Amino acid sequence: MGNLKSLLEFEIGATVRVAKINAGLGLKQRLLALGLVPGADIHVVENRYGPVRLCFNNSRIAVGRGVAAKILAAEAPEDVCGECPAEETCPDR
Amino acid sequence: MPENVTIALAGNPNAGKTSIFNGLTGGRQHVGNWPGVTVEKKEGEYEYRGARVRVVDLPGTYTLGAYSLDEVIARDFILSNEAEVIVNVVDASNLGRNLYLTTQLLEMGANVVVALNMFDVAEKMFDLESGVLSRLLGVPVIATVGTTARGIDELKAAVNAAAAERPADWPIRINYGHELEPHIEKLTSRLSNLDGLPPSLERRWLALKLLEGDERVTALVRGIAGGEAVADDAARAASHLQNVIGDDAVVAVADYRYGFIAGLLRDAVRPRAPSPLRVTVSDRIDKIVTSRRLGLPIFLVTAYAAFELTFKLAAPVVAGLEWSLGRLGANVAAWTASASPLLTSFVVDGVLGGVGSVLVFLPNIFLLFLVIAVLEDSGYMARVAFVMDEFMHKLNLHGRSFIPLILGFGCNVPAIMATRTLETRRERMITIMVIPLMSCSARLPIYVLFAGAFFAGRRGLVVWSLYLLGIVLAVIAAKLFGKILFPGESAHFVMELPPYRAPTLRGALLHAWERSREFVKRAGGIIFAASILIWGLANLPPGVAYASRDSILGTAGAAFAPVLHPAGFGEWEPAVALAAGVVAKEAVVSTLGVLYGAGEEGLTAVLRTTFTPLSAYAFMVMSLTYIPCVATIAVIRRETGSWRWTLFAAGYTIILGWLTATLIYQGGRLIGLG
Repeated sequence: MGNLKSLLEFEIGATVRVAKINAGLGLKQRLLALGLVPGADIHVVENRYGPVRLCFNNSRIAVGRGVAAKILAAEAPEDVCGECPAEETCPDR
Repeated sequence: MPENVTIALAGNPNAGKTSIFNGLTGGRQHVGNWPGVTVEKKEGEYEYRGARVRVVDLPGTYTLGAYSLDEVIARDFILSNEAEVIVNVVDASNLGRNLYLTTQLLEMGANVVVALNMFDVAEKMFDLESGVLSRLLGVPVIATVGTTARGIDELKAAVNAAAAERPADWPIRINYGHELEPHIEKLTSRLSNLDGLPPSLERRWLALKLLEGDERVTALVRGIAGGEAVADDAARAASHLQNVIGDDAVVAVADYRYGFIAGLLRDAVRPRAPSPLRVTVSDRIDKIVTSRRLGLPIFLVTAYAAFELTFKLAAPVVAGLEWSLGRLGANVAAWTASASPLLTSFVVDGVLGGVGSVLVFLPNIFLLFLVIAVLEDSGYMARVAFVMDEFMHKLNLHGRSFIPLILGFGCNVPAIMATRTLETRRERMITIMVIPLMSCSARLPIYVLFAGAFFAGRRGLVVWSLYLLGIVLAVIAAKLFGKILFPGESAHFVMELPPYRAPTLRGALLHAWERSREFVKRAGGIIFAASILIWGLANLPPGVAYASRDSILGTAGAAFAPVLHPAGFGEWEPAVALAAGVVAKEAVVSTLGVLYGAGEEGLTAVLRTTFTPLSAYAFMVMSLTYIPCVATIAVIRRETGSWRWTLFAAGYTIILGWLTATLIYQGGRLIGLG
């Protein structure tokens, strides 16, 4: 696994693999329930302004910048998103 | 089969719980609050083959932890065993996430029936066997489409069957792997040997929660004899696990749950066509609606349109209601004139004047909630919160708080009711406290009168400045309250942007109807009482002319007047008018008319002799800010559940109004405007 970065630091359109969530128990449980589990591949749709928009598991989730900073991830291995056609697509698992 | 059955609906937000609720109950519902908290509790009823079924709608949640009030409420209700059956509404097109809640319900030992909702959408995407799913989950699974009532009868039958016979314990048992399982098993058996735990609580679920570090379960176990040692062991096991797996137990638990769900879906679901990566229509809309450049303008246009629709469309109905009330008053006056002038005054000034002036807002309230329901059901409200979050964050508030604030410009009452969508008590309280500073439509007549009399050339600018002043004061107040009264961070913004859906007219109408009924029923009681009180004070002691200087109201006004002197309007008439404005703000205008003994046209002339432009502006500022009207106070009381906060809202607005008006008047005099 490569270098861990927060979701704020990835390029938009990147597919990343969640590694760690540095949050309190409550927020962590909420994020886990939405499918943000370590190991999950998610798509960063927009992170330049406002809440960060993510796409994974067939749902679109927005998280505040403070929350996004607590989610650490690495570039997903190439093969996962080899056929991502455009930046706004969503990897359905 | 039991004759009376209670069931609860549980499910993720946006899974279509409301449509299933309406499908089951026919939309008939009773809305109240959960005990001790201000989260709304919705209940309904239906009969099916001899069973009378009470349906309790639980708040929509993604999980049953303790992150938000909603989760705590849902969890406590499920654990209370008040419901014999839990109907778990899941979005069939998004099973991977929706079944996460299902696994938790099953582990809690709930008697679950799964409603596989939005089955029509899912069918297009993949082959889904509800029978296979049912076999794998060990509970009944019924395919439903809430919006068209498909599967509702089957669901009712399944509920009856489940209520008659509980399935064996532990229909499923997720294996949490070789690291966790030994600890879970050990804790489970130790918990089973403890006395004093409610027998209905699944011991294995408790063991899991102890390992996860759940505060409430830990406190429960520590509270019983011998529980301390078990909880201590669980804490030790949890920290040991943290070392071994490198993360909290909750993460490992979630991982195994998702693993279980993935395995289940591999067996039950076959994709129809290989189309895993696709841009949906929702994505295309979002690209525009939530974009940096267009997001805000689109929202402003939508808000403006919603506003126009609410007030323009309602205007003829409101006018009609006012006319009817006027006619009714005239008729009553004619009938009762011979009997007693006091009776006439009671009915016309007291009852019709007070309650009537509030009831005429009913069309506005109905339409406002219809528009909100449509925007909410379509999925757009989630985008509004998204677009406004950056700005609201600066005020230490959540993007969602913005919607109720905007509604406040129409009428504060529905605006405060709309704060129910906010997740934390902190956000709700701050938002409720500052909504009265949003200049509602009832304050406009006051501005129109005074601006017309004193600022004829710059009327628009003056009125606009008052709206702006309200917003500025609200921003300052929100910031202060957030720092002093409700310290803490703003709630974490974590929100699903659900796919856009066409809202159903039936659902929206039901929602608006429910809200309107509630407004009439509950606020009506308090408004009625207050109107009678003010009317009484205006007529006592016996023999005085209605609302004259000698009435208790007039005397009180005269006593209160010196306090208003620094603000530039120290006569008794403005004081009484402001007091009357508490019933309904537009009553300020009509009361001034009565007190100065002049009609609408003569009033302008009289006002010019008693006010200066500066004191007129100060009076408008006072009218904007001071104390919310009775209906708003009543709704604040109901929504906060606290007299203390209601009094605070009334108190701080009076002080703020007086301070601002005085500052403007005295400041203006200093620079030679007065």
